[in-house]
Amino acid sequence: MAQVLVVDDSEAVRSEVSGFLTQNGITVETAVDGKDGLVKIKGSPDTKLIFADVNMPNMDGLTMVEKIRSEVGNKTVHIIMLTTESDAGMKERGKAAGIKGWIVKPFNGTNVLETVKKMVA
Amino acid sequence: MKATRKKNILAHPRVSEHDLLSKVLVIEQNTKKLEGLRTFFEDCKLLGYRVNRKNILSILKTNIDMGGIFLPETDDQGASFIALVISIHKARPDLPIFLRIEPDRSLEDLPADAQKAIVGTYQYGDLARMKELVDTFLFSRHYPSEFIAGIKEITSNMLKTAFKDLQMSVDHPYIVKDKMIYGELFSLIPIETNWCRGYMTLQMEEGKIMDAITAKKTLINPPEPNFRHVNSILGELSNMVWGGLKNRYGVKDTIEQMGQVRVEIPIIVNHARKYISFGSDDPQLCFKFTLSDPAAKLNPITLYQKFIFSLDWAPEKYAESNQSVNDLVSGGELELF
Repeated sequence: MAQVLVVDDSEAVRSEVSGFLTQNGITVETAVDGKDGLVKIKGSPDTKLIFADVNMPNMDGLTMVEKIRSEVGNKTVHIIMLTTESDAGMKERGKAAGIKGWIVKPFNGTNVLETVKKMVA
Repeated sequence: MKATRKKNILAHPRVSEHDLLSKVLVIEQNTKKLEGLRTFFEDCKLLGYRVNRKNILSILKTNIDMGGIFLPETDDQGASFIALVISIHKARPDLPIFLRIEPDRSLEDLPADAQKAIVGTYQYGDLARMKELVDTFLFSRHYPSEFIAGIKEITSNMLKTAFKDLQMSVDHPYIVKDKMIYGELFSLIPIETNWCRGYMTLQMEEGKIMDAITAKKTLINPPEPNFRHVNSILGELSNMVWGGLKNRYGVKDTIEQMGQVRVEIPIIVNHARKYISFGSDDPQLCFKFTLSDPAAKLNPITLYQKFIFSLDWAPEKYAESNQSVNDLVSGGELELF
């Protein structure tokens, strides 16, 4: 079971984030959009943390988060949005769905490593 | 052309850091008239490149970021340029041609084909007429200088994120009338704010990006790089630049708030000609970035960034939008809830 699920339609971002986490001893699985993310989290309910983009094809990241909490019933996985968006309304929607944090791209792994380690411990 | 550009530059226009200029090709043999053009170009933010009858068509084939062309009806020996004017227009119909005629000539004296090929005529020394033509066909749009500066800054920052350990330089921002596509790699993303609507394109060469990936100069490090990795880098770069612009400038109204019909125009791409039309002849805002390897192991990577505000353009609303700018959004920081 991977500790972290990275959900992003950009292969570059998946590669960058998972590469950084793996180098720091954290196991990672990836998903290419919200729908794929839902499938992956259903199959790995013990995943500790999800990094999710907002703007993705097929299913956006916020809808995915809401479905993880409601349809899947997973109330424990930590979720951090990693996105170019910084809209207050979107953040409020994410907070209402129980996300733990928000990062505006670009990703800077060293800034979040300690927090990530605590979340996956 | 690149190798000959510097020595053929006719004038260096007087511009501040974020003023826009435009690049034009010039055929003019007459020394006195050339000097007149030089002064005019310096004052009117035109970067002129001297070309001649023999090389202009080949130069146009390898340059995709021009604003227009200045040439006379005849040379000093009386040889006509009219056939060349028609050939240029046929090859690059998007580029405005400004034709100098003698005082005893008028537009109506030109063949019908030539009249259609040019945007206007002027006579030597008639600076008011020349400025009118340039303002009408080149500098017909006002781009807020803060906006230009913001684009440059945000794109520079995102390029530094996407590419590691490369030196970056940026040409002076300029406007183009060209609709030609550079390189093999092209991204297109809609730009929507409450004061402008259109598209941003990023254009690069695939091989250069592949080389950068192989040399571990990008944000990814795949074991076997392929064109999908190249695509992915350009896609994410486009995403980050647009995200940065939106966070700083974009107050995206809903359609209902806009209270107007939402215009959509087909985009036409001709792959064989490397040509793209957004359905508008308005000048495009263009930035050219160059990434260079300090160790000189990689060829320089060129990125053309073009903005085409073909669907809505209301810069008078920009100031209003700018007051609510959230320019404190800093990338990479985790905001915990």
